[in-house]
Amino acid sequence: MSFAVLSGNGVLSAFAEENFNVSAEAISAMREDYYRIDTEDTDRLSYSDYYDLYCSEKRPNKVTEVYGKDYVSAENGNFSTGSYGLKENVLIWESSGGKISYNVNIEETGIYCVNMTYFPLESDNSAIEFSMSIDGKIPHDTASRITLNRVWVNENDIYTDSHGNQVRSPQVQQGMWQDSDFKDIDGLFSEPLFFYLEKGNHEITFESERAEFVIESFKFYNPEKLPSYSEYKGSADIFSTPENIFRIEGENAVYKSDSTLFPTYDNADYLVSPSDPVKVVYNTFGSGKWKKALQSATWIIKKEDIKSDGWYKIGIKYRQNQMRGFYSNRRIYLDGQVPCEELNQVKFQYDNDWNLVCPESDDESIYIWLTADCDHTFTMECVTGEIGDYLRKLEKIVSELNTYYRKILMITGTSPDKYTDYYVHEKIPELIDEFRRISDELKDIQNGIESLFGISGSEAAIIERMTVILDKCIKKPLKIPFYLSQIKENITSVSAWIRECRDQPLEIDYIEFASAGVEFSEYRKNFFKSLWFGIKSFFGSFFEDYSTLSDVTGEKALNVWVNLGREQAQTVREMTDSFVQNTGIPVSVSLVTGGIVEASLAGKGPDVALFLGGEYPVNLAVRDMLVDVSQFPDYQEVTERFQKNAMTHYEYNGGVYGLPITQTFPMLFYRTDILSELGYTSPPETWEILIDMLPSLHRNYMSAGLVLPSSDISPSTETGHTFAMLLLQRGKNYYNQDKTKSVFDSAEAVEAFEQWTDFYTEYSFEQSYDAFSRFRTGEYPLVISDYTFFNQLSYVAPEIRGLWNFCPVPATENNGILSHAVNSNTSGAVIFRKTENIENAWEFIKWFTDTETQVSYGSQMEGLLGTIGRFDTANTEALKRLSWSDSQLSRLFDQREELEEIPVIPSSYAVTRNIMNAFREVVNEHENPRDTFLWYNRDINDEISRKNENINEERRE
Amino acid sequence: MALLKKIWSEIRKNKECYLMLAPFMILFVVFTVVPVLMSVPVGFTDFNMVQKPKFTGLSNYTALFLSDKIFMKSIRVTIIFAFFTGPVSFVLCFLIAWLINEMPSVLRIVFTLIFYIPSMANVYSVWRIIFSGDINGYINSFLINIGMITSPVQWLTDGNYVLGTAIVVQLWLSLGAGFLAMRAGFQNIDRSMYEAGAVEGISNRWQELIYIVIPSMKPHLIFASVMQIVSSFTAGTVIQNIVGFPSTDYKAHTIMTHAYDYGWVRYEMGYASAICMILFIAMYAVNRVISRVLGKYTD
Repeated sequence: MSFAVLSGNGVLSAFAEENFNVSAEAISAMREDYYRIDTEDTDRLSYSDYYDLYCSEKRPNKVTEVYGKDYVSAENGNFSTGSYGLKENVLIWESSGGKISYNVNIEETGIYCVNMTYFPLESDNSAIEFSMSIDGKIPHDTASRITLNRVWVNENDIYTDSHGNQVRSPQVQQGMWQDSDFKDIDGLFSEPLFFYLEKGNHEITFESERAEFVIESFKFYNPEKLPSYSEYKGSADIFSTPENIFRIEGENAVYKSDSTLFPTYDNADYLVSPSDPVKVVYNTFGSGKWKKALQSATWIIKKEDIKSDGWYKIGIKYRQNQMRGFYSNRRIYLDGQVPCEELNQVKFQYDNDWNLVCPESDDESIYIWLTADCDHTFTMECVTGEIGDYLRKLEKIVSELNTYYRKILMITGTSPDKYTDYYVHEKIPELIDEFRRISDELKDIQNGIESLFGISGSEAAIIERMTVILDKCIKKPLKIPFYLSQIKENITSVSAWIRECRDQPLEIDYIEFASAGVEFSEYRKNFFKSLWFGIKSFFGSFFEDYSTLSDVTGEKALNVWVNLGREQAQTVREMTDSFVQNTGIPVSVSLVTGGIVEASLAGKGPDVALFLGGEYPVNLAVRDMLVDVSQFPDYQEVTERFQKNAMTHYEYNGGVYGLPITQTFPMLFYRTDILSELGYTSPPETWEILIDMLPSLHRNYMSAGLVLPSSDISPSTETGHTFAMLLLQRGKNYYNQDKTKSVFDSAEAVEAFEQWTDFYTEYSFEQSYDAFSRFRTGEYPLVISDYTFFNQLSYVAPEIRGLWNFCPVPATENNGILSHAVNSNTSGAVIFRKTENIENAWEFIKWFTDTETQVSYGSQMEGLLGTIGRFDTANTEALKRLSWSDSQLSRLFDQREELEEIPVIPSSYAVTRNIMNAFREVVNEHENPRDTFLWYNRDINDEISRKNENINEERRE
Repeated sequence: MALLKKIWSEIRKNKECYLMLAPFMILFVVFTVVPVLMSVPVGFTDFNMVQKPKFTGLSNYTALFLSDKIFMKSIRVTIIFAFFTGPVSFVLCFLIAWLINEMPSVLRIVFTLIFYIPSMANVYSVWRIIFSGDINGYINSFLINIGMITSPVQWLTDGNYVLGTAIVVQLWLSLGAGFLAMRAGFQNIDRSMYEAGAVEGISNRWQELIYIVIPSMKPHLIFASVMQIVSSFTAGTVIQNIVGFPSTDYKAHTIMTHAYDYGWVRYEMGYASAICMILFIAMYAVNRVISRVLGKYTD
């Protein structure tokens, strides 16, 4: 309970100046709210378990429909009823958060699927996500994050720029009525989710942080069985259709469920339609992105193409070259309905090259009925297919094994002693039996998968390796501690394998429809034509300029360099188009990674550089190469966009030499399952609590991870640098007022340094570790890391979803006030002095860092790359509008409010490297911290004055 | 004037040779000779690469030798580093080349490739994993397993180990051009020399090596030694990539890294040029000494 008192106190005093009683209580309540670990979350049934529990229940043929407007109660959100999208009396849920309840009367006990008719409103969130609880309880984990797709379309058509390359359109949302079942977002079940409901009245509650949609109605029902192909076709004569063949190009997909589904290209093959050896031509769809469950794409079959009513077979030219040995599955809808059972799951076999699939039933092509009186929609949805069943069993096994791994680890530690018999199998009596059961199950799964795909060996070898290890453990229980690391490695690889196997990658070139008797177009390559195409593209590459991305060139244009990857630069370029149109300022964007300093020194540099970070802005400013942006009249106004200390990295000698674009800062990531297992109800809010937790962690061979700069020491202080953090939390910074001297001889600095080194000398923290894998296995249930670690975890480690969270870094208490201060990293936009039209350049960087631009850049990046590409914008409003949930945002902003920055000075390099030298000497060579630190401080101050003198001399010239 | 004319007529006479030389010579002059010559005057100035250089006389050199503690440290580091990666590696190259030369021809090709690959590939990331300070780094995990150490050693950041680590990596990497030259040298030895040696009474391989192989490989040995010296004196990237920049307490800070530090981190090109000049002179001197020693021995 000690922390609650502390946090109460801390907040009380911090807010003492303002509203003494009210706000302090409210905030400490909120704090406590998110610091408390909810054990309910970790105990909730997974859908897989729920499925096993209820799947044999009856599926009554009754439909219970509920209208959106008939809610019983609604709170915390912006709800209204009215007409929307041509429908009357619908429920409009306009806020992203909120909670709404309905009364539902179920006529018969049984399991039901849920189907909802909804209309997505335009929103900053990429999908609609909400939880559904029945009578106040969320029945299973998947029900806590039911996802409904929004509809994405190309904003404009693909067009060709002045270099002859096609330019892809950004994806924008479109509102339209959708009918969708609640499905499994994790991609383990191809069929809709079901819920067990007993006869009688129930309260159904939807609660969301990412809503913004309109509900017309939802219904509890059980879908009818699909007709088989022979039933669908009946006795129709497929040969009566007049000869006709037409195709729709994959890249022309109209409605997409996900913003990552945009036209892609394969320019290495002459048969991909259309193709070009040199220029970028968008000719395929879905490459690398179309693989997650529920992602769907819809094409339109034009009535002009169909010409006359008739039966057509479908030829899909596809490529699935990512999952060796496996097939991808798609469900095909025609006009929103699956025509027959066979189209419920169409298989696309692995092939290195383009291939053609024509859905079949008993070795006979399936023909579908198309009428020529109207356009039709053709939808392909990603479904998991049969492997899902095995994957969910594996997923369960992985989590069981992880638990046993940790149990063993708590007895033996990560490096067990060779000469000790630990008798883990006696300390965990069920261990051997459980291992035996798991091993048998694994063998079954392996056989199942192998017979499913007709493969043997390599693809499922990962499962086999796990079995081998387990069998060894069963045979020689005393040796289990030595197999520990192998168990761990195998768990990691099995869970990675599960993640990959649920992917259903597919790339589509075109879809052809042909009447009976007409052959599909040739899709196999001719060797000589391929060779000729390759030669053309090889020689063509000598004459292509790949670095200039813009149409605009010439003397007048503002020359902008983007210091990032190609995708990012391309996006920036696309976005500048609107800037150019609105302002008439010509801008030319180039992709240049690195070398900006050298180029600028040689006078060949850009006018504006974007995403330039670290010490560079100040270093360039010192050499008088950058424009002081604080001279502009609206400078003050512009800085309001950023965190209040974010400009520090760009300040030098009274001037400000750039605007921040990105800003990352550290947070404390913690494993809720492990902490509650160890008996903690909250993550540590202060260093004292953290230190108190250490013995208990260490006893179980766990530890915490702090940020330590890598062996390459950058002149600017790394974000989350533990020394900087401890110093800032004591209310001190690195330098004195005029930055001519360090303040490391102060008591606070020495104290911070001592505490920092103590972590490594007394509490034996490790200096280098892989935060991601240790956090994932639970060896490090507490890790301080950049907040973008969140993106990585949610993207790459689905098996610990819901078992972790993040909060502000541990605080230091000064006179009753808790300080969570920490420094951040930014990268920014700078203007070079040689720029002819400085006003235009200022307009440009102002535009690029404003909220709208940042939000649109951020959502495009997330669209392109998924969660892992979530943009770490420095713009306060924009950060709020990226797809963070409200509770995540409140955590982020609690930390962000307290950011303090360490200025960059010309001799920063001497500061950061000497701090590390002192640290290493203390930790590795057990020197006295105080003496060592003060000794190196002398070096620091010598270098600061030497460098300052040197620069002053240059300035005097 | 007459001299120029004479040179010109010489060139005319051998124009094919000069034509063949031209591509290399042009690149060499533009990208090596000119920069080296330019750095001589820059060494006497204060130059931050943006503003005009300012003449400061010998002050860079006096500062280097009289007040730059780190430079003194770096000389020591460079000498230690060069000793291990120069002569030791040289002998190692020679022995390995000799061993490989004794193998059947198929194996010879395979092993030559294996030993030459290090100088072609970018292997720093692999070495960083091997020497990682993580408890799961290869060396740490191995040493912990056999019970040599109980907690991970920071090979890449602990001041006691950084130089050693860098030397090990450089040794492995340096089996490059020098090694290849020696391999060629072994193959160029006239077979009849061995026969003559056998007739003259050479009784074992060792004598053959001393009296026939080494003397007849003089040009290759000198070439290899020059390559080795250059690479060990200018090794900066290897160290930077392995133990980071700057290394802990400048324990693996060579003259070359020192020049980089002043040139690209502190933007003091004048000073950096002065450092490079000293390195250049030192390398030249060592080269002369070694060529003389080798020449004396092999003649």
